[in-house]
Amino acid sequence: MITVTNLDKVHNAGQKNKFIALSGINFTAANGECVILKGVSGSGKSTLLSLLGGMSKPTHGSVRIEGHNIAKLPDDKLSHFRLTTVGFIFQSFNLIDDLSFRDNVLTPTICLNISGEEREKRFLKACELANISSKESTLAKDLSGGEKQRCAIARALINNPSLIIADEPTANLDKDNTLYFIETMKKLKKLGKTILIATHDEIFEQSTLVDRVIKIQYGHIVS
Amino acid sequence: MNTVLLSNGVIALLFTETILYVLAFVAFVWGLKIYKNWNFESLASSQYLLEKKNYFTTTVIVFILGVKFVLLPLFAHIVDGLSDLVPGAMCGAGVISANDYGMPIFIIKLLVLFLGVCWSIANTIDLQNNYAYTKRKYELFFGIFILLTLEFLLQGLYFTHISLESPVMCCSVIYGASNSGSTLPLSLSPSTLSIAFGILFIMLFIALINKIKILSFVLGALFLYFGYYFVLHIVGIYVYELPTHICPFCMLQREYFYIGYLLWGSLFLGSFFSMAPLVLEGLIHQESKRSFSVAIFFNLLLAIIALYFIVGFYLKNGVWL
Ligand SMILES: Nc1ncnc2c1ncn2[C@@H]1O[C@H](COP(=O)(O)OP(=O)(O)OP(=O)(O)O)[C@@H](O)[C@H]1O
Ligand SMILES: [Mg+2]
Repeated sequence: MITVTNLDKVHNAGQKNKFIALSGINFTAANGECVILKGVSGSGKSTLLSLLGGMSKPTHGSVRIEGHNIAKLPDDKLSHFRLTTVGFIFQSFNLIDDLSFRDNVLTPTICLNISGEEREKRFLKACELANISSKESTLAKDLSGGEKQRCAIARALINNPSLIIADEPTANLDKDNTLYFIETMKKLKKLGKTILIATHDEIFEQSTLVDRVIKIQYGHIVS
Repeated sequence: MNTVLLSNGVIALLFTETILYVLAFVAFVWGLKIYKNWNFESLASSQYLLEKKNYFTTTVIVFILGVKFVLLPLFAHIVDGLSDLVPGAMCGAGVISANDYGMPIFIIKLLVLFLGVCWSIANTIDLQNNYAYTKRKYELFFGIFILLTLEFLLQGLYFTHISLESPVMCCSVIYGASNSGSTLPLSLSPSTLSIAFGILFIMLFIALINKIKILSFVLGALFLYFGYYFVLHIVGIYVYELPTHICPFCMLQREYFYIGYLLWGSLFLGSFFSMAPLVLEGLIHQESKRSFSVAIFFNLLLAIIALYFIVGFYLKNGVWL
């Protein structure tokens, strides 16, 4: 359960180049729900997602996830929250070029105290969900666009997060791969995961994946 | 110009201390603001701003206290080095007593370290508990800041008031002249002191193992008091291998492999961590379990080094001093 109350995000507060990226955002998302954030470039979608994923802190208001206001968590607890609760899929994938597919997927497990056996189990499960295999030792920079994204998805799933956040996940993909991505998300939704996706790709709204569309304009929610 | 002020070590020390004091002052001012307006329940932007400031201020305080830990041995080292300049001084003992400011500074520095240990533990617990003790943490820091101010002033006075003309008393004089009267507390003899210290060590060990706060505090304080004399009068003479050499400073020198830093360091830290849990109980009503283990570690370290010198001397020479 995600509850966002009176959320503001001001960049460079108190300075000349102050910019209000979000203001007065209120919404809730139930567990297992898939919500789409829509809006033109610069409307504040990425800003909102990074607040929800605990990657930045709001200027005002609260973000409650499973009852905890994550804006109030001390840094080390916040990292732990990100590590165990959130799977983040970035627009540009943010893979580490010179690591293999396998090592990229396993990076989020480095800080966790788990056995090699457990690690292997999680790796296979994440690859199965992301629908990719046999690329284990390929370097990330040698993967195709679609494969890169599946690698990013596998990495986001490796710690079995309950919340999946994707920021324009299909911007770099062709139609086939986009449909493929939607299928993967459907699978995850069946597993009870909450999914938030920022996108301006119309194709999402036509799919059965999406429960709700939230439209953002100039940092406000409209409709 | 006082030549003491021109020695490299003193310049470096005073320079560093000045920077630290300025930082402490900034942290103090910000701390006051945070202390006055802190309301963790609030979702207002002013509170979020305070939380950021708190993060910054906490980082600054951690930095100050961390550097302070390094500066105490450096202070001892520099004072020791001044003994070349001060007539009559053979080591830091003479230099530190060259005027009336020396000893108080030393005591304040130790107090700052003790409270610094308490503050660091309180800080860790505060962060683990979502800022539940932030206000209490700042109260403690305000206390530390007053001590830092006092220390800063006294330190300035100390280094400007070391006379290079009038000779000072030093360990060479102490053991030559006044060896007749006992300088041990409660006029204990060296062997009773050793036995008392041994018993104290075991009792403290038991208190620490069982995590009894009040007992650890009381025994820790006694351990510090008797430990001072024990290291000085018993361990020291085995380090120097000279029964008449009673000096806290010479063992910091290279001739003795700087062992004094380890001896004094483990004594101070061991007793500080023994005493900290009670202080924290009073301050934030929280248990700091790790503090007990750290105390045990340093106390054991002290015991091992002491035994190494005492027993080692006996095995080599077949006699006790
Ligand atoms: N650190 C920052 N400092 C100043 N302004 C910022 C900062 N980060 C974002 N912004 C501004 O906030 C606004 C919202 O940015 P955001 O990245 O959330 O947009 P978006 O909706 O994700 O756009 P896109 O569809 O292009 O990704 C933009 O105008 C951006 O310039
Ligand atoms: Mg964006």
